[in-house]
Amino acid sequence: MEKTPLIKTSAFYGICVVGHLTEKCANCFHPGEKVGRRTLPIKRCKVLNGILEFAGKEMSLTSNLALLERSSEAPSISRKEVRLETDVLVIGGGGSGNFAALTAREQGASVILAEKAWNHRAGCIGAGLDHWQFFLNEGEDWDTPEAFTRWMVETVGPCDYKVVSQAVTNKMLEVKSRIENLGVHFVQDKLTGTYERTQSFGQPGPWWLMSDNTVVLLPALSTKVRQNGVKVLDWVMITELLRDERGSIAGAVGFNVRRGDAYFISTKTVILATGAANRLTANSSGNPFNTWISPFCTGSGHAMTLQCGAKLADIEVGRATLIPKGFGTPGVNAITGMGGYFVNRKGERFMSKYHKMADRAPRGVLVGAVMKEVAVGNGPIYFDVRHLREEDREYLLNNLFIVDKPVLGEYYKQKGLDLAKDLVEVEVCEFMPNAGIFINENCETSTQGLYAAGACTTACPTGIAQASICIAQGLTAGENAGKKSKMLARPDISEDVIVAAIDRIYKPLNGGSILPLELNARIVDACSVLRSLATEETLKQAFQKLQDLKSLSLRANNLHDLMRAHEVEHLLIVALATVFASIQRKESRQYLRRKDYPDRDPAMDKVHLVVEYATSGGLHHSFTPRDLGPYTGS
Amino acid sequence: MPPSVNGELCDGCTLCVRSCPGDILYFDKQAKIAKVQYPDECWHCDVCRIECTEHLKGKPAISFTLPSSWLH
Repeated sequence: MEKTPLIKTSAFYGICVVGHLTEKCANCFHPGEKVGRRTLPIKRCKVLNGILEFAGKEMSLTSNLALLERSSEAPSISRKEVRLETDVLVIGGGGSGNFAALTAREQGASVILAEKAWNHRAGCIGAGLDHWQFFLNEGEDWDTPEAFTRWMVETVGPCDYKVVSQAVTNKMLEVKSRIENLGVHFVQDKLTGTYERTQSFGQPGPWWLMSDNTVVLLPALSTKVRQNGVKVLDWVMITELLRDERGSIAGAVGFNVRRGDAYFISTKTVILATGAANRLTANSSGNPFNTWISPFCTGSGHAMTLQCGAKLADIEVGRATLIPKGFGTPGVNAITGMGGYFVNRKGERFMSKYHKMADRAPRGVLVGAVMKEVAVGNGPIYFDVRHLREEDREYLLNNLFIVDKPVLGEYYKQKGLDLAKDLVEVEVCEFMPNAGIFINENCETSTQGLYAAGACTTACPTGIAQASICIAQGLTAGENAGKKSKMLARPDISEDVIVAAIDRIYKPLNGGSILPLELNARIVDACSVLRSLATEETLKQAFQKLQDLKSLSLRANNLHDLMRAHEVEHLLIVALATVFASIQRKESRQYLRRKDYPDRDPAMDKVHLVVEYATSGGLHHSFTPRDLGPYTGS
Repeated sequence: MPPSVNGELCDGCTLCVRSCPGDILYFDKQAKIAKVQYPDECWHCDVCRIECTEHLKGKPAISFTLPSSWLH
């Protein structure tokens, strides 16, 4: 769609140099004001259709005063109620959510996207990404859609053949062209013009493309989403979904995390694009925000899925990676893709003992191998890139590591590590539940009107957390939810239900017994069993500890706390489901290691372990067959 | 460890406060610069420094120092 030219409104929306914006600002017409040693010119903000263009970037119009205040000193929390109607509600910005909003809108549906941060930089790739995974279908056997589907089903984790083929594989090349149209550039050989490609994680060939500028993607995507008529609610956290009497999706409630306003959104369909479930455990630093992927995703979508009567699957097999000791960051595929490898305390390369692809083995194998080496006394474990050519090592540091996680450069510097001379000690990062919202090939859950896309679903399984796979699902979910919503009537939902749900949002502000991060710490403590060898007994103890935490009421002193309170409330639901499911899985698989069942049970290759709420309210598990297609499972 | 904001370089544009996905920064009305309110909740995603670098044309007011306990 063409961008409509900005129009002059009759009311001036001004912004003064200290960032105050009000609809009729008495302070906004200063010619300039000294701040420190600079004199800053006045900035005039342009507003069109509720979209504020601030300093050249777009965001929802909101009171700057509340936005910028120290949240513990916010003058008062607004309890203004905003009621909206839409065909499709996407919960979560980021890659999957924004693309889902786009494709839903392309179906002609009305779309709202609610993101609890600024959509411009939300999610795991708000600051960029170094690697994108694509088959290119250019002739080699390994470079085909079918090879990719096979790798997912056989190697990566307990996903389904038809779901992966339709919801992910079929959309992968469209993901590539859409992100290229938004400005993402992939590194090419200067002489031949062919893409630079690398291989890791058990891929049958070099599927990784490298990007030097993915930092442009989220802003460009967020702008396009707004310009295409999606109503973006920045800084709005959805806390609960509401269903009609038939159990179908009918609406959602939430609040503005910086102002306090309550939102009720009547919607025919919801797409959960809420990311993975983090902060369940912590790495050796003990800080649950020091994570591999975004710690601000705490399984809200997973929790809402259970609360809506839908299912999670295989969450207990977990997800983890290897990190430089003490610092949560991606980077393993960069290390192994560029030819780096892992050594133990004796200086031995050991990965070939565990897999024929050695350091290019699937992620789960690498992590399991490091755990085993440490268990037999061969730790600490290190990664070694001293042998790389200098230009490759420089590329690894400057074009991969610090493109993916810029502060990683500070880590090496401040730790005094020189990658040319030093080994870098690694550890297994925090344990996260495996992506778990159980979806079909249309990204639908078993609850009418409820869809999910991205790192929160069973189509982004344990051994991979990759944007192309997440975004492919966003495209699928948006298209399907958009189409479906046009066939659905506006749902009915009683005013009593809405009012009660809105009241629940603010309950922690009225007092309680525990602050959010204190409860988070107790969840981390209870779930620490998942980071080591577990037994039936220790898992049941963990489950009981988590059950006891349910009786505590969360307290929030301000809006920031309130956001954290809802995050941790959702996290507790996910923690209970994960530990419950771990007890039911009588084997070790991927990251779940049981001392009492140390081996993988081949019969479990063919089934999903599904968790949902029973009608009585407690957790219930069952087994359902996996769709392996023509392949064997993992 | 959270970002550090250099008060001499910060021009109070508030882009970091807006862009932080974790809501850990705020704008100090007296000092007229951005400050960190929730240091332990920083993910080190670098979004604040990215926005600051673009706004201040390559010379950001934000830098990062990691906690010693994460380095040893």
